Parts: sequence; structure tokens; C-alpha cells
Amino acid sequence: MAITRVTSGVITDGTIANADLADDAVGVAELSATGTASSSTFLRGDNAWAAAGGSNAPAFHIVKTATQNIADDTWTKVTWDSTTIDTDSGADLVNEKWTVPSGEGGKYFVYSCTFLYSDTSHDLQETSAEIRVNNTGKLSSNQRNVNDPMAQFVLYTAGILDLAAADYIDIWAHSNVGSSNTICHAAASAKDTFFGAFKLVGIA
Amino acid sequence: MAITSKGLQQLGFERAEFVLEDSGSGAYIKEWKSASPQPSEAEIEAAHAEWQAEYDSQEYARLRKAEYPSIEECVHAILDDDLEALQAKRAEVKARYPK
Repeated sequence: MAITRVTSGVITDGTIANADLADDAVGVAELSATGTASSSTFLRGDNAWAAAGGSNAPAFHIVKTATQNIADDTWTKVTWDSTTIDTDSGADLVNEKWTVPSGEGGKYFVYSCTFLYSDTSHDLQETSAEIRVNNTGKLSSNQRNVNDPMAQFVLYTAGILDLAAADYIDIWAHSNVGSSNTICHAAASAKDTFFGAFKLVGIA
Repeated sequence: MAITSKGLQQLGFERAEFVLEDSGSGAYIKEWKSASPQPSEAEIEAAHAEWQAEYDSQEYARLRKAEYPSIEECVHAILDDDLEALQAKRAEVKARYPK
């Protein structure tokens, strides 16, 4: 009588070769991977089902909606009024800073735009903006026009910073002006002066 | 009033001799680089008041300068032999912003 069925008990462990399996015979349910297989997950090399891509959180975007006086030749911390994005509640609008949440250290793309104009016409000679980490300048931009003072300067500052949990970042502005003050501008639309960052994935 | 760069400059210091900072509760001297002693806050405030008085006294000049005929207008007036109108415009601006 021909043998038509073999039970697993008579197969020696570790002896089934690739040729013994038909193509497309092994289904997802037969895999030992951890996690849950679905249309939005893929199988990683460590045998785990994981969501595709990665998250850029923590991320935030803070805006200025009230103008601020910047005294001549004085590095001044820029104040902020509201957040439009703050995924991990790192923003502190009382102390005008954003703090890296616990367990979220890593590389961040950080940016700021600072709109400065003179309180009297056309006497702004030089402006600077600085992104500081724990009160130390890390990224800065500068515009200078000493021989032909101007009414306004817009400073865009951006770059990648390596931040640790509990590090805080804030924005400082400086100007040289013929009169006493420069105004840090804030349009009602909140699109002139802003500050933000997001975590970069896939970068050690 | 408080510590100001204008006040320090009025006392004869250069911008490079100090760094001022304001983290939200008023300006303070973050770094003092001058070989000369650091002046008191009262001295800085008094000097700032002097600077402000001088600055305010020149308000008429700034307003006049903003409204005087431009260099281009002056060139045109010379070429068009129209200096009288140019002088009249200057006189009108001077009258509007007296010393």
C-alpha cells in the first residue's frame, strides 16, 4: 500500500529542505514574528512586525503674535505667544523655551525666523539671531548694513543639532540701531517670527 | 531705564568692550571686557539720559533729512535751471521742522 500521508512525528527535526516545500506554501500566519501583521506593517530583520517609516516626533512650531522691544546692542531672549504644533508638550511659553522630552534625545532639525525693524525710520545697522542650547549659541545668522542703515531685517536660522533629553533651546536676537530700540515683529497672522524643530529619524 | 549700550557708549566705552543681555527681566552686563572699571548702573542711566537728550535735540535734523529733495531732484533742478524751486522746497521743510 502506498504511503499517502506522513505525520510530523516521523520526520526528523531539521530535515525538511527547501525543495520539499511548494512555492507560496508558507503563509504569514506560519511565521513566528512578534507584533501584528497588517497592511501597514512590514517584517523587520529582527523578526518583528513594525510600522513602515518612522515618526518625526517630537516636533513643535511656536509663533510670536505680540511685538517685543529689543534694546540696542543687547542680546535679548525672544518671547513667544502660542504653539501651533507641540507633539510632546515641550514648549514653555513662560520661560520662552522648548525642552527635549525624556527619552527623546537625538538629531533635530531646528529653525527660526526673526523679523526685526527699527522703531524710527531706516536706522537699523546690524542684526543677529541665535539658536541657543542650554544658553550657549549653536546656530546664528547675521545681517549688516552699517553704511546704509535699513528699516528692517529678516533673519532665518536653521540647522541640525544633536540634543539630549532635558536640553532646552531658545532664540536670542541682537541689533545695532541708531535709536534706542528695535522691534521684533509679530504679525497678526503669526507668520513673521517663529521657531520650531523636529526629530530626524534614521540618523544616529 | 536700565543698563543700556547707549549709556555705556556715552561714557566712552566701545561696543566691543561689553556684552549686554536681557533674558526677560531687564538688561544686564553679561561680559565686561574693558580694562577700565565697570561703571555703576546709576552712572550708566545718567549717561543714557544725556545721550537721549542729545538724540532728541537732533530730531528736527532727522525729519528734515527725510524730506529734503533727493540727490536726483537736485541734479534735475541744476540741469533744468530750477534752483529757486529747489531752495523753496528746502526752506519749506526747514520751516516745518524748526531747530
